[in-house]
Amino acid sequence: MPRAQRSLRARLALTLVVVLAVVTVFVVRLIDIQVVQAAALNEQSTSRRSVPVTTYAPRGEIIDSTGKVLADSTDRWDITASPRYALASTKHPVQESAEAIAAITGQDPAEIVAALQAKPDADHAYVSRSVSLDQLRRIKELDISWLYDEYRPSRNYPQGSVAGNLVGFIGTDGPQAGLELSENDCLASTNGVSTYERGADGVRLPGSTVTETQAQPGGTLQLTIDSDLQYFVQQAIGQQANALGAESATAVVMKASSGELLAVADYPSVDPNNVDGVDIRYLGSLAFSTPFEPGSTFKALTAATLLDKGVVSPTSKIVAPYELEVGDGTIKDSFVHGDLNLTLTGVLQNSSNTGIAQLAEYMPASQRYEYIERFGIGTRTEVGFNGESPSPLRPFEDWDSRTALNSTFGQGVVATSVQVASIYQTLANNGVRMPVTLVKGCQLPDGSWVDTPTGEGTRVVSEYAADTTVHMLESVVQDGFLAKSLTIDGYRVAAKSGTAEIAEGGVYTSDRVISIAGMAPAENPEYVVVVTLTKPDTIKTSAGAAPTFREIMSHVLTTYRVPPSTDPAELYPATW
Amino acid sequence: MTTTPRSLPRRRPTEAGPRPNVARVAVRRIFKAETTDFFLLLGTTVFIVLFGLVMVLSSSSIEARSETGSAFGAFTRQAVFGAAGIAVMLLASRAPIFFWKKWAPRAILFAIGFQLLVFTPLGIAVGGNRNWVDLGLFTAQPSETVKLALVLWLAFMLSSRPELLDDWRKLGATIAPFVVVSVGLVLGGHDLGTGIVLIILVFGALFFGGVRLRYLGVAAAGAALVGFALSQVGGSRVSRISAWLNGCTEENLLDVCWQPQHGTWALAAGGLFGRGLGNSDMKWNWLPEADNDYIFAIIGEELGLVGAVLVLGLFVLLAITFVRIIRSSRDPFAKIATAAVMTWIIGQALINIAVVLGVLPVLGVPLPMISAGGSALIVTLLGVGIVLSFTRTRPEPVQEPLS
Repeated sequence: MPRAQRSLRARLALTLVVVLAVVTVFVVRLIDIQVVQAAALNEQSTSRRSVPVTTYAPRGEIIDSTGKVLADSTDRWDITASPRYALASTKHPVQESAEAIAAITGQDPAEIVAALQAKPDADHAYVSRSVSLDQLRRIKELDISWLYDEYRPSRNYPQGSVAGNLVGFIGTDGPQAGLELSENDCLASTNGVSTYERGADGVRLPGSTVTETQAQPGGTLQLTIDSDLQYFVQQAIGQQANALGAESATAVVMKASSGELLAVADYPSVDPNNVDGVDIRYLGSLAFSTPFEPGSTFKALTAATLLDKGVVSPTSKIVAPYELEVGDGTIKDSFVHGDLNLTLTGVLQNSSNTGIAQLAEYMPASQRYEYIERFGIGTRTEVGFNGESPSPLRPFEDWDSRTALNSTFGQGVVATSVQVASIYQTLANNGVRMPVTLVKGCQLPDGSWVDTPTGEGTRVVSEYAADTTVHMLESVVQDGFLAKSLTIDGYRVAAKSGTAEIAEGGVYTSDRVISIAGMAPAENPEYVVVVTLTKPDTIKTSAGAAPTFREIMSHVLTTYRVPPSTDPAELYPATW
Repeated sequence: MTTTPRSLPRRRPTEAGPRPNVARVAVRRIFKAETTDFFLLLGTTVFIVLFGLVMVLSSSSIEARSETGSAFGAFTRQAVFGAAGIAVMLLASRAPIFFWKKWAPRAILFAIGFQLLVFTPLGIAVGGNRNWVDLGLFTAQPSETVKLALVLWLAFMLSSRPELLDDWRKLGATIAPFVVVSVGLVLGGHDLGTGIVLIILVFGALFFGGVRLRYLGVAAAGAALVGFALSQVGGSRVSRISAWLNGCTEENLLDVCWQPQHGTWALAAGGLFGRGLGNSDMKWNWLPEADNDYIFAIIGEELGLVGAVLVLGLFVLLAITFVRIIRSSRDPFAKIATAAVMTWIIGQALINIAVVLGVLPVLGVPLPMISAGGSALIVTLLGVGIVLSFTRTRPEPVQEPLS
């Protein structure tokens, strides 16, 4: 073999050895980068690419007892952008893109440009908030690479002002009023976190989204409210309040056996979709938040208390004068009359203040005070509605003799409409007070229900005392001066009127709160209705509330298909 | 092969008479079996080209789409050049050896003339490298043709004038001027990467041509000196080399370190088995030249260590094939030309991969037959075609002189 050829062979072999050596070095380096150091290097690089995003889940719905939706969440999106990429983009210049976006969202293009230029180096800016799916789709069709979107569900109240005072509303900073606020724990969704990776030009890489925390939707809140009835009741009090020129009005419909609220209406009503449409005083629920001196509707409580102690009977006799001198002043009846020979039933029927005040003397005021407390006055109801008033009860030590007497006919004490309804529910339910409920329960996202604890009923007065009081109240409806506007054909109704003077600055004025509280059918009451109208102009007596009470009670009885009463009432004698 | 295959169609008696042998010879030439090396080289090359096409599609699609609207822009271009390149390669493989010998002297003159066009108004600078010529219909890189011309010319000179091998004065007088001019022109266009490949190609030709090692040693020292001097001149080059030596910092990440750092991150993201074909994150405008100088990083990201080692293996296989061809060739021209093509392709591939792996500073050398780039692909395939033409005939056993 010639020298040249040997030399070539050696050189070729050397070359292969060198190539293999270099390749071996490369493989070692590859293993170093791709396996040994991979984790550390990946950490460095992904932190530069990954962009965290908050993901949203819808807030829970609020539904009525029949499942009708009172509040739900609509899909909305916020359009965001990376100003850094937007301002650098030559393919989608800011001005041109802003005009295209504005044409879809109805914004001013200058506003979009300003939002982008506010922080030119930032990676996040809001371009347009709360756009609809259709708008989102059209914006996406623009195919602007520096534009992103964030899901941001917004609140919608499909029934508008129906139960608006109860449902409350969501402001820009979250729930502001009503059940939206007080039941936020049930309704609130939990935001999730996910990250996606972006290209160097800001494009979101397909398939790179990693969800770290799943967004949890809120629970569904079911109310005891029947939204159809609620609508009817709101209409009824609204019309009457308008007719009488009343400043405000409330109405409560409660189920006698359970204490469930079927309707809690307020006038003026609020449409949660447009909370600016109503004075801020009426954003909550007056029926829960505004105590008033109930007036004569309170006499039923006094009568039941006296009966429970056994100090009177329905036919206990009393002479009721127009005026009665007590301690440091006089109490008067609402109409001028001579001395009347009335039974307890007659006292209720004629709504005699002097009569009930004298009968109440059979019992120490301290004991009556305890009964008033047991009927729920001075304590917030179990509902715990946002802004609910306990109707503070002045400590008994502070009661003077006049307060003690006034309290027998509902002056000097206060109660909310819902508390009045609860008093009548106790009487209707054979003396057992049931916890007042507005919320049936909360259905969690996993489908399970958390029911509102209903609690046991508490006996306030004996069955005898309660039933007898209801029976006496039938006389008010059948033979009282409002008989014409209270009776409902086919049903026995028990109710009591109330006309209370409104005290302003410690002095009683000519303004009134007129109310009717009652139940039907009287022989076995199923539903309690309370209607109040505050500061009416044209009719300043409970006569103004009576037609509305009857309208609502008739509607309730027909809607819930209550069988008509079969036997006529045998009323106690009212006079002697 | 001397017997007629039985499958040949039986000739009809009327045609059997006049010129049966002519037809027989033509058929025999067409169906003549090629050598193992022919198929090994052809197969490896075609596989690398097709693999390269797939990777070009994957790595270029995102940027192509954001720039032109079509994800297939760069890929289609590369596919057309690939098809043309394979056609050119197969055509070249049919050429007899004397064809290459005949054209070798003219090729070097043509290539130098072509390279000079870079400095005329036809020249285009891409990324600071004035290395392109706009020929109206398409743009081309004349430095690629210089590679090919040097292969042929060096093989021709060293094989036809064996006295050069042992006399450094003659060697210097004949080879050096052309080498200095052609490499100088390429470096004049600020294309350091191609310049280095050319120098390696020249060394390969000389080394396997049988030039004494001490001459080569002196030349290598000279080249290293020139290289060092050049590395101190260009501004960006100095900072690139210092970044390579001293590592990346937050400050230089945004300029000179951006590309190598993202290349390393791409490889790291690939891990053992890769993120899957098409799933690269770095190709989303992060890694500059993802379909070109840094395509190996994308291969490592999408196909993992397995894919990267496969590519290395392909080039090793190519090197082994070239060595086999050199050893089985009898014609010194074929040996030297094959060796030059080998050092060119394998050297360029190793330099490219070394850059991506951070073993060398960024030099701007594409990965042969895989990176996007039309003229480079065609010329490389033409180079392979020349080598293929040497392997079509199994060398007759040479009668070695008795010693």
